[in-house]
Amino acid sequence: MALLTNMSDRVSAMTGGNVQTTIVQKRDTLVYIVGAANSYWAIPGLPGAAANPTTVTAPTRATLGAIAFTNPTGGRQKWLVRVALGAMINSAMGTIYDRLLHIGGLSGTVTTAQTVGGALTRYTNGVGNLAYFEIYTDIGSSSVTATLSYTNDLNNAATATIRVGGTDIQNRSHIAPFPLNAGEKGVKAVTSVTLSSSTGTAGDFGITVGHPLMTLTYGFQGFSEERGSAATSTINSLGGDVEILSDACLAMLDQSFSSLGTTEHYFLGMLNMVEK
Amino acid sequence: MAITSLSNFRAALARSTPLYLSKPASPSGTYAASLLTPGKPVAMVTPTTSLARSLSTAGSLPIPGGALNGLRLLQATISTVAPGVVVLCDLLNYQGGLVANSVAVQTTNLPTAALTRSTDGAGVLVAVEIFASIGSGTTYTSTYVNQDGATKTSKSSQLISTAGGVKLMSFADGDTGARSVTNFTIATSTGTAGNMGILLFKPLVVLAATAWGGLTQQDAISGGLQLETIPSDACLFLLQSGGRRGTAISFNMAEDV
Repeated sequence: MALLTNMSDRVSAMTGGNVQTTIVQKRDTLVYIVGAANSYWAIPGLPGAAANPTTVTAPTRATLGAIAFTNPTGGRQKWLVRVALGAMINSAMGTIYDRLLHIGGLSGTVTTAQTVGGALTRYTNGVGNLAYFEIYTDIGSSSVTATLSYTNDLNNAATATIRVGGTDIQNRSHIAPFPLNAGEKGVKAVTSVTLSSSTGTAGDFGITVGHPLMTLTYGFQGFSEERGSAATSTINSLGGDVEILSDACLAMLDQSFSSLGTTEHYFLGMLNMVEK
Repeated sequence: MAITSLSNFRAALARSTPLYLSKPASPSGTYAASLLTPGKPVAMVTPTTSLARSLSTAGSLPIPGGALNGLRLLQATISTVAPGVVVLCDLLNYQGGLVANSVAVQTTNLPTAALTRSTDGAGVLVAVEIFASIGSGTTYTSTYVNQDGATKTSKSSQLISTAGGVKLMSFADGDTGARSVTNFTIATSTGTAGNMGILLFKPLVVLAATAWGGLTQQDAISGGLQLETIPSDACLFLLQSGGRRGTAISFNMAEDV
């Protein structure tokens, strides 16, 4: 693997061509619940709003909603070296992830197993992958347990649960990861999701499998009209180089720790990528 | 030309030209541009006719023009009253004269003049800036020519009423930028005409000001700055989030050798 091995290597890669800067910008009025995450997959802006998924598919960089980049050529690899953005929410954590698989059209009132299926095309061994419960149209206000049946990175069948509906997640764009079980490193395939009882409204939700690549924090500002900002690089965060696989479907979510309620949120940011 | 090593980067930093920008204030609760704010550089004249802007436009950050081998931003030192995000942008086009008390399609000083940099429109963003306060509670749409030369209608975007506020336009899905804006329409009258204008610009670098009333320094080492190449005739300005922020920034730029 052609890692950026030292600072000279990094500076050279950043100035020697094959660099790419991609602008991201999203704006919408969303419901923010403390600790709940919001997905920007279907939110207008740059990139444009994705269509809500229906049948299970494995999205790529060509899918509307994916953050734009070009695949590396000449035997090089693509590396994400910096993400910087200003966000109109405070005290939050953002995540850039590779969206590997998704399905929509599932119902918040069905209490039998709802099939997911499909097959991963990147990170196929499952390591580092998370499965998310993602809402496209508001489900009901009754709090229920969602049980995910999946295959872990060890090729074992497993289950995981989260609470959805009620004061948990129930609104458009809300997204929540299913926790991994002890000893697991990720999700390789998802069989189905089952609700313990009806949330009261069918809505439209789905299951998404993603591979988190980089996280960044938005500062706490102290005033309601002041907003967060963040800049994370593989240098100042002391993280490792982040490879972007060819055809990756880059997307973003963030999780606020402020009680914001229903509010307009927009952010403007930039992803910096190099090749080596 | 690449800067091939850390020592070469440090040498470039040593020979770099420091450029200062200082603006005393901007409105709260919105993105705001530094263009019409007094300070250093001086405030631009409130625009009317659509004009392409360049390094020679009064109010542009006076970078060394005419660099032969590319001018790179090596380091930025930021001091702001409050934390927030600071986006260094290249202003491509600026116009004014739009009003917020008429729901008719507005073409005053539109379409925007042809771009003279980033002419394909890719990565060129569109925003509406409020020059004189309007009423509140309306949205707008614009017709624009996208990066492929196709005419599109934007998604509905909310307007802010405060003078100095800037709201980004939402492109139609799949578009990555704009070459020009053809017309502008608000959904409902705000009751106050005010004065608004459209700016087309290209974000170059996003900088995070993370300290209260203090310094944030970002370069390729601390902050992972991307060592952007700055167009030699760029009309540089800042777009900032939040408000109440007097801002002073020193940019260190150097020509490749």
